[in-house]
Amino acid sequence: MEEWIIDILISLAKTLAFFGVILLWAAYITLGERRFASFFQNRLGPNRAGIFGLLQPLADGIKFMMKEEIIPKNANRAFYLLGPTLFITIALIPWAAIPFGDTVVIAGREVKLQIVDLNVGILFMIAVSSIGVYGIMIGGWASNNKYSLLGAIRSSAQLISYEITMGIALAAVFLLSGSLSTRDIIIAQMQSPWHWNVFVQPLGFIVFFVSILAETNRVPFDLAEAESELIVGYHTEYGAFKFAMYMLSEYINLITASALITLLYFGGWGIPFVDLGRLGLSVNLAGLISVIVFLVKTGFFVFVFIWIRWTLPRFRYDQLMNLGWKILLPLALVNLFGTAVVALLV
Amino acid sequence: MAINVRAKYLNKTEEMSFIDRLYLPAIVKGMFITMKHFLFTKAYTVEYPEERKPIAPRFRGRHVMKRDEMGRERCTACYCCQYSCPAECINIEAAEVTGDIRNNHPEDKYARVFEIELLRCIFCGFCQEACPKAAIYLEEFYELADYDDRSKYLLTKKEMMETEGKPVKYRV
Amino acid sequence: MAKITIDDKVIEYSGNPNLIELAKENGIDIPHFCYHPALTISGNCRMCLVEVGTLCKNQQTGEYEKDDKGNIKVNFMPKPQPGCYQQVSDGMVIRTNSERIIEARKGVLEFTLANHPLDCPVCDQAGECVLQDYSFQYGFSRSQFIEKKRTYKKNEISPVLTQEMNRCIHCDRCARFTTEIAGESSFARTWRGNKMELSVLPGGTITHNYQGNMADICPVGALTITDFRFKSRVWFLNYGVTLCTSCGKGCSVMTSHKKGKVFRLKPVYNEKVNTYWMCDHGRLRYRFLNESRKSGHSAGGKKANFQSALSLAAEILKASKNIGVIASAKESLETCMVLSRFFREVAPTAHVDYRVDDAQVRDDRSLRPGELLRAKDPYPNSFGAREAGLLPGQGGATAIDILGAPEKFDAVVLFIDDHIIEAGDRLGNMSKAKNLIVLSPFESSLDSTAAVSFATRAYSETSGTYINIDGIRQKYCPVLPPLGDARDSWDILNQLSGLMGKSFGLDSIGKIRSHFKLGD
Ligand code: SF4
Ligand code: SF4
Ligand code: SF4
Ligand code: FES
Repeated sequence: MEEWIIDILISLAKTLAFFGVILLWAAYITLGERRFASFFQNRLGPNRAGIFGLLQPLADGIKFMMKEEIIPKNANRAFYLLGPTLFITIALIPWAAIPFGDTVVIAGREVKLQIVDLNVGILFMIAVSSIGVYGIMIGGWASNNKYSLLGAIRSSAQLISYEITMGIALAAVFLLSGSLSTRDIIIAQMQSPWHWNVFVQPLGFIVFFVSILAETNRVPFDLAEAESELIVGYHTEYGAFKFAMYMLSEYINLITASALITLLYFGGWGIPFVDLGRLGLSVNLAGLISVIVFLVKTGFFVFVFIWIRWTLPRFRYDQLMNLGWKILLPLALVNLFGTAVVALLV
Repeated sequence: MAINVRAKYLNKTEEMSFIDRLYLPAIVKGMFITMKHFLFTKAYTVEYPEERKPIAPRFRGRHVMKRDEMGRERCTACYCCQYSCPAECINIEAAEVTGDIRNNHPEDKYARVFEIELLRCIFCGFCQEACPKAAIYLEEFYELADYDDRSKYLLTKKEMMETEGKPVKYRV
Repeated sequence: MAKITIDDKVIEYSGNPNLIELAKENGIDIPHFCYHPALTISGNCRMCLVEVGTLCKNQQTGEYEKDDKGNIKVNFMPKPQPGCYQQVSDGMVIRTNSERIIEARKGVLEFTLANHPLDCPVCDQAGECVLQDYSFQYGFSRSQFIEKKRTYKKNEISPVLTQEMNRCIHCDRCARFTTEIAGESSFARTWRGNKMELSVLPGGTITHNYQGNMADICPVGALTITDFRFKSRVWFLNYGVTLCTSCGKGCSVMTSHKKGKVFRLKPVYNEKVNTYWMCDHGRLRYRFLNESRKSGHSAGGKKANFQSALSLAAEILKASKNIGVIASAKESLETCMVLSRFFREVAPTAHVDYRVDDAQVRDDRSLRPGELLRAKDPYPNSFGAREAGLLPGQGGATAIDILGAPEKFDAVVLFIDDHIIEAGDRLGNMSKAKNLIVLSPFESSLDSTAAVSFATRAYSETSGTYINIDGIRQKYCPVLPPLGDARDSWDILNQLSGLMGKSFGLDSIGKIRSHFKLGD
């Protein structure tokens, strides 16, 4: 068999596996969010479908598919349908560049547990995810509903504002690792936990974390959905499977954000004080362990997002903008500048 | 004044300190509070079909018609319940007791038809209060919801009446 | 004028009035069971106890003695006296609500209730029971009587009456009514004291026609009318006052009705006609107001709306030379007047008659033998019809003639009423009639053969005037809403007159009354 065919097959297999995992995970986060929310509120949450309610996502999925598809009479039909499709597509694309773990060896080949290792991986992810706002904007506008439109406008303003801070915070990380490739950034943090960027870049981490909260539209920055003011914001008019698409994409974004935090600031698949390479494990076992470590770390951050959601109240819109432009942006700039000076001097 | 005022009056002119304005300590504190609930507080949920909250002794559920100690129907069709019912949902037709039903009724008159339109009933218990014969009671059964058949909500005498020696069968 | 003081109210009176009546006229209620204004006084229930006093007169000086405040002193009798047979005399002072009297009433009620069962849920009298009312007003809610109450079986003492001896309070009204008013000796007190029973005397039966009144005057539910037994609780009923139409007497009655159905009739006091009573015949004939009533018009056996039925009738009457008219003395005087004018002016004919009954033909104004109220004439308004001139003219056929051979006429106008339907055979020939126009509140077999059949209102649904056998004019008003599209007979005739080109313009009962000078 020719080399390139095998390459393509492997890429294809990786892609399918990745998407499968991501979608499944996102589905289970819906359950996780509901159950954790209940625990935070001293309730039990959905525990009827299967043991611990584990079949709940399946039940929800069936429900979403069985529901009647309604398109509002005055909506712009084409764009109305385009919105959720675009949103979920864009939510999935960044995963092309996210490494789940180290390498494994299959059939005598070394396979990276990553769909592609781009040398500008992070840049690619940020670039793609900023198109995501189109999904919201189109959906909100095409619904022809004032709440949807307001939600969409808020959302786009918010995403654009916080993208800048996020980018600048990241620039400091690139500066330290000297690469835009995700894999390289992780490897740069491998030496010891003290090399994790969260310790090297504490201010940068805070700025990045707040920005990514805003980017994913999570509480306390969920102004685009703000149930109390805007019904549910941009997807007010969406029901059935289209709504499910929006919801899934939001949870995929949440996982993406957690994965980004993990790999940028918490050392990716590295285990603190343990060097997998030196333990003398087989390559495949080490690869597997690295995947598990990465998933655990990401999962933890997903939980943190949920935890934050059920703790903090929502910001006001002006507070949001103040925070973004007047506090976080200067802080990010200071951080970048400081990092640059230090990097130059050391 | 006996009322214990627990409100704390803040001096609004007081500036918040830098730490306060950072909000981060407050946020962390909040996060710990929620985590405390997450980890240590038991859920208050009552898992309904299996667990039930105890009902109050004077709970007013679905109507039950009683028999006396000799197993005879207590109701004599006096219409007091119909008259006092604010929802006008009781329908009674009286008839003379004759022949072989004689040992089923203590009086000369009995309710040949006794129906309650449950969908109109507001479960006020006035019927129970008005009944001079202690014949009708609103007892503990409250699971009356159904989704297809409205005719089930026309409660007939047969469905309400205690069978002799046995408690009433509750299912509508 | 003689004066008497009742409860500090000075009342002037003349003659020899009864104390209870006198007090009632002046708005003071003395509770009573056995007293009835139309019956002799029996004085056995003791519910009517009052304190009776006389003004204190000094024997020597003849002056009234006064107390410190200058009021005349009153000597009260040491014991309360029954008010119902208290002879009223000038200067008497009566107290009906002093503490002693209230105490005494409580005692009397407790005795009365000692044997009375707690039967209200079953009893048809509940709601209009005097004992119930008084217990609420004057009694108390517990009894010291722990012994067994006397019990009897329910007893149907006649086709009309059901007796529940358990409930009897021995007031004796019913027995007095039987002997004094109905003039029979079939029903009386038997046994004595606690064991007293009011019963049909051995070997006898109650046969008189006024048994319903015994139930009416029974203050409790001991005597009730079998027909009304368990039909409805009285508090669900509505009431309306009208006249009984079952004979020429025209007693004043009260209908008890619910949802458009009449449940019973009861007499209403009318000094000139029936006083307190009515006969069982009339009492039980309320049923015709409920049964086989007509609510829509028909033409040629098919349903028709009023206008088309009206124009069809007008065409028939215009085309016919020889019209036979059988009027009905159940129609009001007003209708009779319009009818008489209609067949004099609009469709002139000599064959008009209302007399379908023998008593009417004989112009008989007498009562049936042995009756108190019921007249021989079964129609309430025969004399109104006569006054309106509904009699055959020169060479005209009588009603009996027309009923016998209706085919001789080009058209026959027939008023059907409950009496003629009850009589059965009278209408046998009518299906042979050409162009039959029926006006009736009831459905009948003729509806299918008649050319036009109008639904008219029964007397309970309209207003009018009847003239009874004694020449007394009595007005009545509707007590029930009309059924469906039913119209007043005078309304139909008036509209017909319009269609036939000689409009009367009498479109309300008031206009008719003033036009024919019947008083307002
Ligand atoms: S509970 Fe109230 S509303 Fe219901 S039947 Fe009884 S009296 Fe009527
Ligand atoms: S249930 Fe009681 S109040 Fe109602 S009719 Fe029967 S006896 Fe009377
Ligand atoms: S039956 Fe009625 S009217 Fe006759 S004595 Fe008894 S209570 Fe009086
Ligand atoms: S009414 Fe006077 S004693 Fe009965």
